[in-house]
This record gives sequence, C-alpha cells and structure tokens, in this order.
Amino acid sequence: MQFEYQIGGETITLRVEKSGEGYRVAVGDRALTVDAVIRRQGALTLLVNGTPYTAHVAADGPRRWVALDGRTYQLTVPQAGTKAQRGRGAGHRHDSLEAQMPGVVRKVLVSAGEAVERGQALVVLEAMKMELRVAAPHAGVVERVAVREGETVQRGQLLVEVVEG
Amino acid sequence: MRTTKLLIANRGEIAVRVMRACRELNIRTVAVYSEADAHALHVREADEAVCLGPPPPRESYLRADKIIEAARATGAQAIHPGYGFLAENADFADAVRAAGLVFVGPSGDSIRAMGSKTGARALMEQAGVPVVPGAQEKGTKKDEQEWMEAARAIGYPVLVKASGGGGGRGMRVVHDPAGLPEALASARREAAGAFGDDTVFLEKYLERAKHIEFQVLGDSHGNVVHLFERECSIQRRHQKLIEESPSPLLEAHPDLRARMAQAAVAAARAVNYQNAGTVEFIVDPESLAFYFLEMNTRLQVEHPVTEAVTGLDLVHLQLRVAAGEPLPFTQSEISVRGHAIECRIVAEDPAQNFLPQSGPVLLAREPHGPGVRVDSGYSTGDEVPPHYDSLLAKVIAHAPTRAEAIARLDAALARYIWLGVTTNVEFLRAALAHPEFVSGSMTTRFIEQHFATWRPGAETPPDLALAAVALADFLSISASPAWGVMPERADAGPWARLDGFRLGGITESVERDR
Repeated sequence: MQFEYQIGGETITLRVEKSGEGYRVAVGDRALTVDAVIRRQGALTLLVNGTPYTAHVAADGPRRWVALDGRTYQLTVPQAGTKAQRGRGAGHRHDSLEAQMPGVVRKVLVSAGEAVERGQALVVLEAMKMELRVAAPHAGVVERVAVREGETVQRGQLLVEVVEG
Repeated sequence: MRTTKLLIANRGEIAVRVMRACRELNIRTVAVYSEADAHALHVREADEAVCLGPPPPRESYLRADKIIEAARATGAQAIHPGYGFLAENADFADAVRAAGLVFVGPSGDSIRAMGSKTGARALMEQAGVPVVPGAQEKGTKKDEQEWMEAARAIGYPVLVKASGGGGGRGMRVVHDPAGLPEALASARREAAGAFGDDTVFLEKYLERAKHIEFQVLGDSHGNVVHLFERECSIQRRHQKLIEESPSPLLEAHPDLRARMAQAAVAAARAVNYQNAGTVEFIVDPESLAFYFLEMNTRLQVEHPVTEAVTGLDLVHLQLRVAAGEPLPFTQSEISVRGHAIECRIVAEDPAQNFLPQSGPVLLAREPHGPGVRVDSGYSTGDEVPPHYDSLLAKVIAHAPTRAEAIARLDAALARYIWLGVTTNVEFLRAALAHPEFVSGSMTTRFIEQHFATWRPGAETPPDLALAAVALADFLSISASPAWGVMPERADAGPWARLDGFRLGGITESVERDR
C-alpha cells in the first residue's frame, strides 16, 4: 500500500507491505524491515533488528504528527484539489491574504478599490500580546476586505484580497 | 478565619498549580472560566466551576464584578488571582476585601505604589535602592525637545517604557537621537491602547545585562524575608523563557548577593509588602552594579525554581500569610540546596518567527523522574484557545549542580511529547546546549545574539519516523476486517486523535501482527 506525505514543500512516498511476521516499509528507494509493531494509544514501537524504537503519532484530518528521539515533525497528506485553487485571477497575480494566527483584528487600514504599494500594511492583527502587520505582497488594488476592526479571526481566515494591477 | 474554600481567578497552569496546593491543605476549590475554557483542565481539576462569560478576557477573566459574585455564590472565602489578568489590579484587591473576602496577595496600596513605574522609581530612590538612570514626566508632558535633551543626558542607548506597562509591552530600545521621536510615539500609542495611560519614561539601556530577581515574602506582623534569587536572563522580546536559581553570577559573588537581597527586602518594606512578591534587578556583569527594575506584586510564573531550591511551597505560604499567620521561619532558617532550572513551553512556532499557535492538543505526554516537575495547563484532548497567553506548561529540573540540572532538564524536554500544537521545545533545547548558557555568562541579549536566525533542524524526518507514520496509516486502514474488532473502534487505529471513540476509551492493546 502506498502513502504520500508532504513536508517543507517536498513530497515523500512510502510503501508498506506485510512481510512474514512484520512489515517491509520502503522510503523512496530505501527499505526498512520492521519485525513487529507494538501499539499503544498514540504510540507505536517498531522492532527493527531486535531494537525497539518508540514513535508517538497523531492525526488531525490530513495532518500527521510524529515525535521520535526528542524531535517532532509535522507532515500533511496531499489533498486532491489544492493545486487547482492557485492560478485564480487569470494573468493578473491575485493574492488572498489569510490570518497566519488566530486573533483579533486591531486595525483595517485599507478599503475595497484602494490602490496599495508593495509592503504597505493592510491589516493589523493582535494575538497573545503580539501585533502582526499584514502587508501587501505586491502593488495592486484591494479587491475585497473580508474583516472588520474588532472581529475575532481564526487561523487561515481570509482577511484581504489584492489583485495586481 | 480559616479558608475552607478558595476561588482561583485565573486559568491554565497557574490555576491548576494553586488547586494542587489547595488539595494538600484540604481547601475546596472554585474555578472560573470563559466560554472558550468550558472543558479546560483547570475547570476539570476544580471542585466547582463558574462561567464568567465570552472568551475575550475583558468579558471573562477581567470581570472583577462577576468573579466576586462567583465567590459569594459558591461560598468561597478567599480569592487567589494567580498572575496576569487581575493579579496586579489594585482596585480588584480592594474590591475583594471590601466584599468581606480574603485577597491572597498584597494590599491594594502596595500594588498601587509599585504599579506606577515612575512612582516606584521615586519610592525606591527614597528607600536607598539603586535605580537605573532615567527621566520621567512629572505632572506635565515633556515635548520632543525635552525628551531629546533628557536622552542625551542619560546617554544612548536608551529604553522608552510605558509607565503602566509590563511584560515588554510599550517598550522600545533607541540607539540614536534619530530613532527617539518614533519610539516615543509608538510606545505612547501602544501604552494608551493596552493600559489606557500613555505616560512613558526613559531609562538607560544596558547593552550587556543580567536579569536577576529576588523572591520576597512579607506577613502582617512586620516580617519580611527573601527567598534568594532567580536569574532570568534568557528572554525573547522581554518575555522570560528560561529561569534558574541560584544565579551563576551571584554564586561567584556572594557579597553582591547579600547587597541585592538587602535592597530587595528594603524595597518590599518601603511599600509595607505582605504576601509573595518579586523584586527585579538588572545587573551589569562587568561592574557588578545593580539597578531596581520593578516589583511584581504577585506570584510569578518562575516561582517553582525557588520552591525547588528552598524546599518551600510558595502557595501554601501565600495562603498562610493571607490568613494573618506569621511567617513560620526567620531569614536565617532559609537556605538553598542544589540548582533548579525552569523552561517555559509555549505554543509558538520558532520556524514562523514565533507566531502563536492554537488548536487541539492531540497528544501531551509529560516527562517524569527524580528532580523533574511539570506544571501544565493542558492535557491530551484539550484545545489551546487563541484568546490568551501562549504558555502551555513549565518543566523544572532540580539537581545537585547546575550542569546536572541542565542535563536533567534537557532529557526531560526530549521526552515531553506535544502533538497537534507547535511548541518551542526544540528551541529551548538548543538554548540550553549553547556554550554561553552552559558557561553561565549569558545576558538578556542571549537570544538576539545567538538565535536571531535560528531555525529548527533538518525538515526531513528520519526513515523510522516516516515509517511510523505510514505504518499508523496502514494499520488504521487495514484494521477493521482483519482484526475483528468493532468497526467504530478500528476507525481510530493507532493514532492519537480527537474523536469520541478514543476519548470514550479504547482498551490499549498489544498487537504483534502475524
């Protein structure tokens, strides 16, 4: 069975097959023989050549978390359709600026139809005692402002749309 | 009157920690919470819980009226404010006492005296406690020209600070005259927004300084003692990340420790301080000059390192003092044993310039062992809400020597599993391993100097980690038919995840597949 994961812009392909009492796991062109798996909730111990390695694992939708040997990694299972969303705005660069952290909209500095310079602050967010200025990635026109001052926003929520022009 | 029921006007790890002390003292506990915290750990740990309102602090944890009403309604005789929120709000302390309740903290007047940074500076000068050279506004606002002259007299670099500020808010470092007007304006703006008071002042900024603070404790019988120092030089944007006791600098200079301790006690006496408090100083490691920074009139985040080395429980002592009892020891009976270091685990992503993170804690597994203490506000299945401080938990290691404490803390951090929410654990481990930290010579610029461009290590996980993820997915998919377990249980597979099935309690099983 084949699995794909994305991490840091890279896609990694793995294949898992049952092999005798255990499993054969291929990572790219490397292969790993796992003699047995001991399962606890949230933890997997892999027996490899008689040595036990315990990893902690968690899943949340397409997100995968794994902690091994004092380090934690986050991976994503590629979702169908994410690529199609790019390239919107035919010819003109079109950016949907989203909240990178959940918080409160402190200031909205622009309105729809306004021309903006590259780097110009559009919205000021505040969360956990920090201020974050959301700036225009390129010169253009504000197509839409999707939030109001004082509004609470979630991570990933649309703030402003800017079209190159 | 003995307190038999205590309301804790806070959330997260500090509320949980105060409740732990209450259980030991056979005091019942009342939690208060916002709608975002209805299922939070501090609510589950309490004997009773009262909802204050919607998630924003102004509508919940800062609602003094609702908190006092909750105490009345539940029959709690006392209120512990924790830190942050209303802990240093003098009017709240007064209102609690006016309502006939015990406030576990100092008097409103003590809080007020130390709350105004400019007022506190003047008081400290009178008490003979050294303060940083600076300039302030007295009565009328200074104009730009007057500030420029004041800054030149002090000497650059200078620090612009908000009078009512704290935790680094409204603070700006200015290296030359050209940067002063903008720094004054932005500090005023931030101060007005955050504290409703745009009064600012200037202080000389020490380029190389150590942050060393003294824990003090006063009772209502005129006794004031210190519980030695904590060094908190590892800070990021004026937020402490690693704290320890004793201070490596003061270990080498016991005479300096004695003078600073004396100044700390004098500072506390100057405001007739009762209960637990902290007098903060900055110290020039070259000249060994020290200056009063501020007094925090509450229990501090980093109090566990003092508890570890002195063997005392500060919350127990706070409750005794608040009940009118005298301190159960004198200064000469307090001593320090070994070395303790604390790390603050925060929900921030070091790879994204420390952006605060929120979301579900899919798996939290705490380290244990001799000399390891964990104070956490979250456990597996909890949600980290976006409305509050990013502090998740604290890990404290205590060992005979500093080197052993570092090794013990690093080993504990390596075993602290947080899945679902990004933390700074890897960053903390890198800081602990840095030669300057190991040598003990670190200053408050440590992170700026050595970690400004720091990024987490290699992004590609080792094959074993990838194999574990793929195997977990494989087992989840292939589980139900092959193993003959109930289909809804098989859904969860080996993953830690937040669905009802797992929380409903799958029996843990050992599977050696064949």
